[in-house]
Amino acid sequence: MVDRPLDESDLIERAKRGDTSAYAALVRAHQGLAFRTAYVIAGNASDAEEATQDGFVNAYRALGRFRRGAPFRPWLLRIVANEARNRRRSAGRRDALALRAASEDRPGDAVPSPEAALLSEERRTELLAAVNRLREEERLVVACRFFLGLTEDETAAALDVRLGTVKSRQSRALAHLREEVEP
Amino acid sequence: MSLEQELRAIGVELPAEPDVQARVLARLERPRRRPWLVPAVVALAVVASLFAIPQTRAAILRVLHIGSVEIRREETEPRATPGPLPLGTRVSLEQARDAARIELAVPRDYEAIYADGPFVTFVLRPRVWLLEFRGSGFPILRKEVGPGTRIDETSVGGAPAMWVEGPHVVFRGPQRRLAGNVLIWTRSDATYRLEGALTQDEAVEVAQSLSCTSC
Repeated sequence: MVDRPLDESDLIERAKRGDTSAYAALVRAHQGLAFRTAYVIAGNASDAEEATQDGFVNAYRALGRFRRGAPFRPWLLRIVANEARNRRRSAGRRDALALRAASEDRPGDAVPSPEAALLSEERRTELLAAVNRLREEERLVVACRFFLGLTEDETAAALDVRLGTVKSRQSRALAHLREEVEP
Repeated sequence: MSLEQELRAIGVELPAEPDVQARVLARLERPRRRPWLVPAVVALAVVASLFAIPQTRAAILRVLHIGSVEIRREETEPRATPGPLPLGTRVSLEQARDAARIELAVPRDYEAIYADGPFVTFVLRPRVWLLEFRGSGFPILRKEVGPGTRIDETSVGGAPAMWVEGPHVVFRGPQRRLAGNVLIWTRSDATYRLEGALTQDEAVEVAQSLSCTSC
C-alpha cells in the first residue's frame, strides 16, 4: 500500500537514522501522556514540563538502544518518568501530589471520561479523597492505571518497578479503597 | 459500576499540556547525530547531568561515552597543562594486579608500572602510556575536546573503541591535563586508555598485542 501512513515503528527507524521530522511526529503523538505521567510523579507542572522535554531529548539520543519492534510507549515513559523523579528528588519534595477532581465547567483540564456523567459529584469527591489518603506508592499506581489509563506494563516502566509490584500495589490499593468507600 | 470503572470515571484535574515539540527539535538539531554514533557509544545525557557545568564554560555540543570515559565536545579549544594525569607510585606487576582489581592487560614490553589507587599505568616507552582501570559505565574520566579534535569510532579486537586525535583536556576528579592522541576501549568491566605519540593504526596494533585472557 503506497498511501499507508507511516506507522510508529517506521517513524522510530527513521528517527534512529537521524530523521528529526520523524521524531517530531513521535513527540507529537506522545507528549500529552508523557507530560501527564511526569506531572503525577513530579507533582508540579513546571517540573513536569522540563522532565517531558529532557525526556524526549534523552530518548532520541538513546534510540540506538531501542529494540526494534518493542513497544515505544513504556520505553519512553520510563525515561520521562525518571527525569520527573530526579527533579522531585533534587527539589527535596516529600509531600505527595494531591489529586483533585476536575470541575465540571472546565472540561479542557480534565482527563476526558465517557463514564464521567455516571458518577455523582459526591461519589467523585469521596473516592478521590480516599485515593489521596492511600500510601504514595499505591496512589501512584492508581493514578497511572485509572487516571492516566496506562497499562500495567507502562505503569511498571513509569514507576520503575516490576510488573508484579504493580499488580500487588494495585490490588492492595483497591482493597483499601473498598474498605473506605464501599458501603 | 465496579470500583475500577468508578476510578476511571473520576476525571482528575490536570494542568494544560504544553507543546514541547519545537523545543525538543531545537535541542536535537544543534548536536546532529553522526553515523559513527553507534549504540555501544551512545550519549547518556542522564549520566552527563551528574557533572555540574560552570555557567561560564562554552556550550557543550556533544557528550559521548565509552567505558567509563565521558567525552564532551565543546565549541572552544580547552586549555590545560600538557602531560599525563598523576601516575601515582611505582609498583611491581603483582602490586598493580592487586590495586587494579581487574584482569590487567599486560604489554609485551614496558618500562615501568605505576598505580594511583585502582588506576594502573604502564609506561610503554617515553611519551606512550597505557592506563587501565575498573569501570565500564559510570564516568570516571572526563575529556573535553575542542572543534579541531577528531573522534573516530574504531574497534580493538572486536571491542568498541574510540580514537581521539588532537589536543584535549582529560579530567579525573579535580585533576586536569592536556592530552594528545588517545585510544580508548572497553572490555567486560574495565576501561583501557592508551595515550601518546602514536598514530591510530599504531595504537590499535599495540592494543591488540596486549596479553590477557579476557582482552
